[in-house]
Amino acid sequence: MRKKHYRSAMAALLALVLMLVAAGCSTSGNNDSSSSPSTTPAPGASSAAPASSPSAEQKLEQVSLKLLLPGDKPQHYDQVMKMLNEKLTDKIQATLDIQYIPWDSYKDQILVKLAAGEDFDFYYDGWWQNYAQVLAKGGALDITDIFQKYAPDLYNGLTEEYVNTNKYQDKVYGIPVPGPLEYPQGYNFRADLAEKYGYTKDDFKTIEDTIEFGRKVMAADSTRVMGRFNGEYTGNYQSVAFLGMQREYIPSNDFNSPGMLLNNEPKVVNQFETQQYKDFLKLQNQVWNEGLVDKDSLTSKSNVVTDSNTDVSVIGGMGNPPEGWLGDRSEALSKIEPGARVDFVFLEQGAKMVSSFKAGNFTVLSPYSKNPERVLMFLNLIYADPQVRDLYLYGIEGQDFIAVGDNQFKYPDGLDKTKVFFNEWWMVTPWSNARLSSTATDTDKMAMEYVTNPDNFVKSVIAGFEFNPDPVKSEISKVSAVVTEYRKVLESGSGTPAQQDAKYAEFIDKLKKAGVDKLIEEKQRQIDEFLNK
Amino acid sequence: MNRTLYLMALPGILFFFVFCYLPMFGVIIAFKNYNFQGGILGSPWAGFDNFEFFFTSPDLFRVTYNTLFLNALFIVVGTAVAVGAAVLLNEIRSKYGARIFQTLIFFPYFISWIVVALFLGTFLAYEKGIINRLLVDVGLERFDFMNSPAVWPAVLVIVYLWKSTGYGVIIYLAAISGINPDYYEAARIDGASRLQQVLRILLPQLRPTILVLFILAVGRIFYGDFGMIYALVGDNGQLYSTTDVIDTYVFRSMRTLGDMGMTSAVGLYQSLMGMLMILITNWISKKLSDEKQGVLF
Amino acid sequence: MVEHKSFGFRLFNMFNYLFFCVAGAACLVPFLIVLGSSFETEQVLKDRGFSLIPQHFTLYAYRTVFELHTVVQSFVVSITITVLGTLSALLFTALLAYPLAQKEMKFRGWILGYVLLTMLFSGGLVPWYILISKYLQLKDTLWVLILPYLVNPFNMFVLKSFFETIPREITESARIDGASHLRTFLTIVAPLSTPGLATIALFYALGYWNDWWLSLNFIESDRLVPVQLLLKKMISNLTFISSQVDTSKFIQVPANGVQMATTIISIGPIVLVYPYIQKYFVKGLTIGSIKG
Repeated sequence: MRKKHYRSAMAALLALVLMLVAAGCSTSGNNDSSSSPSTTPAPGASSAAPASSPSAEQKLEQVSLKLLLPGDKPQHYDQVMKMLNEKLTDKIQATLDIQYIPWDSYKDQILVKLAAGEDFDFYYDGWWQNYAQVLAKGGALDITDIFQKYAPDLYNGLTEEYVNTNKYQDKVYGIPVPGPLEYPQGYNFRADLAEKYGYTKDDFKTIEDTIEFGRKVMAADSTRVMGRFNGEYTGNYQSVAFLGMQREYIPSNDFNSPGMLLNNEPKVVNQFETQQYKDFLKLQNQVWNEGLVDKDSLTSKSNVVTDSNTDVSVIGGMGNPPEGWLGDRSEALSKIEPGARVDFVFLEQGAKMVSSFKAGNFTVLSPYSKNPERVLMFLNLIYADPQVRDLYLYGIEGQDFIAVGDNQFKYPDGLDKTKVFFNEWWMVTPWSNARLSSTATDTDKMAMEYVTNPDNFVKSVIAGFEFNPDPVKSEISKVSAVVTEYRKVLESGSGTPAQQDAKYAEFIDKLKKAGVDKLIEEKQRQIDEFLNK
Repeated sequence: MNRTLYLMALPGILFFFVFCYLPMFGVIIAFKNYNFQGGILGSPWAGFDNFEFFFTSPDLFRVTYNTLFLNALFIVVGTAVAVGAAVLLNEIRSKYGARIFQTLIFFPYFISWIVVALFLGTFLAYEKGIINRLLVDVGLERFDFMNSPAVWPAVLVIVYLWKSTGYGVIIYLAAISGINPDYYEAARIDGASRLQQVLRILLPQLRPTILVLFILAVGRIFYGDFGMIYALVGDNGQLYSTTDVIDTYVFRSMRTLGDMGMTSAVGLYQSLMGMLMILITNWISKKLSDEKQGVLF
Repeated sequence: MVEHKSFGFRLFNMFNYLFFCVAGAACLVPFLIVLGSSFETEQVLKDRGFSLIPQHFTLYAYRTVFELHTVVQSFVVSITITVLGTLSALLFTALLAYPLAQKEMKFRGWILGYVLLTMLFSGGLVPWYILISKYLQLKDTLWVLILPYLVNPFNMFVLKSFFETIPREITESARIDGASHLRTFLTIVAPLSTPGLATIALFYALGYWNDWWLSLNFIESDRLVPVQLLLKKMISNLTFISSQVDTSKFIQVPANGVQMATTIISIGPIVLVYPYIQKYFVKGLTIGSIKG
């Protein structure tokens, strides 16, 4: 009896082993049965070679487009995409499939998928993600010759000049997605408290004014605090140290990289060694030691917006201009503390900021895309066709959003962004093409108008310049590590004055050892070369 | 009959070949200036360029020292505590009680480092932290944990022990329960006390397991525990002098550029050093063993 | 068996119990805090940090998770891959560890080095990814969630050291009786090694249950997303949404509460299974006393 069982056990064992090994090593289509179709192919679908230039009468071959986006699949995805794809099939004979990749893995996943030559057509990227690396390593398709042809409305809407300032090595790679042109800094504050203690918006002209306001409120009400840090705080010299001055960072969104331009002069300076920076550190230190900020919050892990919407004890803080959220934020706070209201005032509206008119976000085509022309046609369609735009960004009217006029919207009662379909505009289409929240206040609208109007900005002396990091890769890495180590500690103003001085000296010394001077020299050299061209 | 043995080992050997050795040619990325068009094989060679940033860094000594020091602490203290706990657990006479305790000390394993970091924050905060509130209640001065790098190796070891001891105890307890009870019986007949039984029988029987785990851990001594340190220390630069390890340093440096070749270069360095450490410790164990047999090979 | 209940012995026992009560509490209390916090409202969590006993009991965090329409499917996926994966991995690992525990095996040292090297050196993410997705064509399959972890070198070394504690006489006498290696292993060594096998099985089960890495890289279809990836995606997304300035209708984005709830949810099944496995840790002992 035992022997019989033994033999059949052996046989089963061997079978299991062989099966597993075979499954592991097989190159057959294992994914046929268990994968679900990720595209919705219309009859006769094929990823055929791109057809000739689009005309309204001529029907192209049906293709499927794949888009990679960071985030999570929104609600009602299947339902909305079905409707969207019907429209797309009708207009440009294409269907769209979006794969969402979690935010914290997005950067790495894009690199890996590009390295593996995976089959997708376009994706989102931004300077704050890894657009620089993608460009340098050849992960973006050169669309210089096909952009205007296949996406004429989008091209003209962006304007040729804007497209040109966002070129890389004289070619168009990622399609720039304009949002605010720059971020003139201002003061976000509790308007109801301001009223209570006799302040109006005009009273806030300088940083010192805001600090004084904080002192006054704290003296009268000890539950309040002038400012608080959050888990995303890494320093804020860019919003205070150079307030009112013309400033340009190189690369434009990277505040951590030593080497910037001041007063629109093509001379590269190390911002961390400037007098303005040192003064700023002193100011922060004074505020810290006066007890005006919540010290424990420096090690908090919370995030900015959640805090802004729930923290009723904080009086205000420096930041970017609002983009339509003031109304919502006031509402959120007033639910916790009745009467709470927030407002914003520019602190550098007088001076025109410098801008090199660079976008921060891009829609990038993959070099492996088989239908780049069709992708462009799709992007053009989002821009030119409000119905397609609405479906793609906001979902189904009535269910996912309620249109308020032509360019505003609100959520149906009881619903919010996580419960409806939505996609972010800043990944695929200009801000001007997105709907504004219907709860946007006048301040919001004023601010938004201000930051998108090119007349409010001075063209940078290095507009069109692209910094190539290759010659100083090693220095950039070393310097980057040093900067992220010290900025938060120094710029929060923590410690006694003596401690801060010592830390600052340490910081500068380490920067030098990490090769910061070589980095500055290289930036200067490249800029000189660019200007002499 | 050796053939059966080889057949048995074959699936495992094949597995490693496919999933580990095939992709291993990727180590050459460390010597290349990688771009997508060229791929791994076609990208241009970069010599030792990718290694430059790490080996000329002003923090080279600091992060290397921290990595080795912290890991050595974890290995030595961790092993001692896990073995000790396993031995003590084994002495608990109520088997039911022993099982409950063993389950309890395993719980922290399931709590992710991110949640642990949140906890640690509420413990160590300066003004409202639990420890400081206790200190103030008793009349003592507050202690600024978040700004005192000197205490953090101790903090990290304590948290590490809290989270990982359960895991080690499982292995050691399993090994202990496999010891032939005849040995104890013989010793008891000879008049040995329980303590002597533990020292003379249990621990020596446990030695092979302890040594294997020890050497395997040593092989990873150049790899800092990124998950733990990044979650607990994060970007609190004040603490870097004693907690910044190779992995967190590389992560920070690569934030802007994210160069694959450079990350790969440091990884290769860590692998080579790990291999060296294993060869050395295995050789030492061979010299010290009676049968001239190293712990691993 | 005469037990010498000396005073020192009893004192030691008392301290032992005390020690483990304290240690146990230190391990249990944080867990209870996570449990309690998972039922707490976000506002209170923000103010106080944590709650052992919820001030305002709410199921909001759990609802956020269970409202995800694929949550049941992901449990099915996770349980399937954990069971299948653990059994297969145990098999493959044991089949490799046993021969390597036999000192007479030729090339033993070479194979050990071969395995050890994989613990030290890696080609990196890109070649591994290309291998699995392009050459093995494993994307979006159930196998891709199981195969890459089939033999963990660390587990293999631990299991091998367990096998090495089996006295030679036992295996030798079986071989002399004419049993093949495989048979000796299956009928004699394996039953004697239940603690070791149970340990490794537990480690593999934990590994498979907790993993989100494989599915992050290789799974696109909703039907094959395991629980851990589902939770991770949700948290990552909520964290991001709550950092987006234009989504301010969210007071209730339960980011903290959700972290707690997901911890509890992902521990759930393992905590249920673990006591069941525990008895195997002791089993080998009783069999061992027979073998003398």
